[in-house]
Amino acid sequence: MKDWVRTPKFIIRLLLSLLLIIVFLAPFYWMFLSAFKTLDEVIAVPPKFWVDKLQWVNFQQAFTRINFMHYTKNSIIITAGTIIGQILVVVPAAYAFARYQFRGKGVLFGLVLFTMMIPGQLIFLPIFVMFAKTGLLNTYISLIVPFIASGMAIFMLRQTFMQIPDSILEAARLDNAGEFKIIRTIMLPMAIPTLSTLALLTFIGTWNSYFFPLAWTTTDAVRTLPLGVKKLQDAEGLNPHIVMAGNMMLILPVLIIFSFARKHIIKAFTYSGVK
Amino acid sequence: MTTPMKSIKKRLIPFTTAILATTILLAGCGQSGAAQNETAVAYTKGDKVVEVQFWTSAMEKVNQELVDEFNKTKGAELNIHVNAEYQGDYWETQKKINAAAIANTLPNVFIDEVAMTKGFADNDTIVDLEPYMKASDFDREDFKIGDLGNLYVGEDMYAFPHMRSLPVMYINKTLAKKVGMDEKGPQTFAELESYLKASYDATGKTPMYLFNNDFWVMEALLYSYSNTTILNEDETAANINSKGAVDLITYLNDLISKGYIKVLSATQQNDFIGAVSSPDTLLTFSSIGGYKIFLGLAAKTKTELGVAMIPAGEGGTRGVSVGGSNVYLANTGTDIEKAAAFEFMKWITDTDQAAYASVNTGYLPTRLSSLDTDIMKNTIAQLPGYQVAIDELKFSKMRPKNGVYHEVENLLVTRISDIWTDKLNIQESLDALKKDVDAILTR
Repeated sequence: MKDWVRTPKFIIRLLLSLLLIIVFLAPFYWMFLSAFKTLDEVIAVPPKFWVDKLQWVNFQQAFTRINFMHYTKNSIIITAGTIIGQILVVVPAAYAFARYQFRGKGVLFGLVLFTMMIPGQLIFLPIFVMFAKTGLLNTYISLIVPFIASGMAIFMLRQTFMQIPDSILEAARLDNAGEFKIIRTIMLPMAIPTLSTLALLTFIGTWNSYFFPLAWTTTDAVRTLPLGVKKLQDAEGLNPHIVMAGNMMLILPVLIIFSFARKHIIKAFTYSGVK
Repeated sequence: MTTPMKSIKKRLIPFTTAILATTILLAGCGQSGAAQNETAVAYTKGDKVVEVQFWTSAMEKVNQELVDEFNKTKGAELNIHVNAEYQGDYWETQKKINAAAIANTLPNVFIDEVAMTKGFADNDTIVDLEPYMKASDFDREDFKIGDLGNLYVGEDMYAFPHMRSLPVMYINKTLAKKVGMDEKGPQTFAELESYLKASYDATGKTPMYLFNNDFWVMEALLYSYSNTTILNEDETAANINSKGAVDLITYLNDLISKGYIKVLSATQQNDFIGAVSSPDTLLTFSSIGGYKIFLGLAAKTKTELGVAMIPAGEGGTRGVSVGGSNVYLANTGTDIEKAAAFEFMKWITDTDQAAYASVNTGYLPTRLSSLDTDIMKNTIAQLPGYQVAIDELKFSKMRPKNGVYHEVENLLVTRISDIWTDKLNIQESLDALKKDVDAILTR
């Protein structure tokens, strides 16, 4: 064994890391356990930290007690629509803020950053009224459009675009490349880690969003999966194990996509431009 | 039945903020509150079907079944069609109603928690039912089960009762017999301690659990133990640092320190449900709405579970808060739509529907006549705990009506829990709590 392995510093770091892992994984483990338990096991006192027999029937129940496919379809449409819309809006905005000089640029960028500081609970009401007056309540538009101009995404992508050396853009312009071609062939390929991260963050935020899909819908027409899972919780009777099975199905896509995009996320936050 | 899971803090914080924001906005929008002089017409069947939008909250399945039945029977007869849409729990629905009031997209009729009547009336979100009752010669006498204060604003009725619940004491009869106590359960708070001591001495296990988040239990204990209330009569200040409140918290604190009571927090709802039906738990306070669930769970461990009233205080004082939901007629739509919505309100709260809702949910019936229906009689015969709860309705009190009471309630839950977990000085903590509650009430 190497000497540094035995140092107190190493041991403390190891213990702290283990503690952090437990803190972060414990809720997931509890959800996983509860999703596979019987009702009696879930409410047992003292609680059991293992499962005697996996109760797959809980998943079947969660799937059939609500219109699972309907909510999932809505979640997919709204999440995909938000990600696509964000790319269409955020990329040109970030490029303009990173590469153009124009009057009011500082103020406008300040306004973009300011949008990140406004809690959603403050703006939900005027937006609700606006959608109600324009007849857009209970439509996909009401759950996609307000989120496509993301201040956070514009900020992150602008930082990435600013790290790309001017010399590369000048060379492209000398070759008669237009702005659209520069964005498509130079900026975007070099910003893939950031774009992947933004897409993932948007995916997680939109897929898990509970407040806005609830606040801006009054019928089930475009409600999303988190609201469906909440319906399981509100239903008559006692069914925490089925709610947890619903939650497992809700977070599964997030876990799968996160596991694939993990490397890109780390890269995005450590990205330092051209080496 | 209150649904404590709704109180998961993660969701409550944004929703409380949202409710606060909408309340402030609504306060600015209209202050005529509860002084409407509605004119009302009795419904007359026309050629066209009148569409009624109905927002439901809690117990979606039973409400949808009732709506389906209405559309097939009375609705078809009167040319009224009701569209039910579930909006979430009570607090989520309140927020959406407030938003819809501003956006002029209110449904015609909706269900929400009993304590919200005054808040909705003050904002002109709901209408005075008196003219409608007069126009259709409606007799309200049959509603007189329990305290009806939450239906009224001033002298006028603004809501019909939909489902009713109240806290009771569950007693593990099997364990009571085993430890030599009467299975009827403690009748007074002095007896309560002797029950807990007997069980604790015999088993060495915690004999009683309190679910901290179920604050209406605390309201009932305050009524019964100290003959006082959380807020003063006009709901402009808190009584939470009064002698009665300090005595109650001290009493409970003493039982907690002796190991007789364990307090469970909002995140431990499953543990609490498990505890109610556990063979090792002697007593718990919880909603009658959970009776059937608890009985089913207790049966699995061959535990006989009984229902008793909340113990009486000195001099026999006893009081329990009435929870559940009301049906409200929203201040929207044409005269004919309002009249049609009122027809639906009358139907859904009528004898047979009240009995059906009670039998299928665990809530108590809302009409005296529903007690005489066969399904209600059969249910009470099979589940005698319901009769105890119905008898306890004699001691029922309305919950505070103030529109910000939910915010107050959340604060009380957190801060009283802090007293127990952090072993804080009771008088000082309650003095500080009163100041904070008063600030909310007078904001």
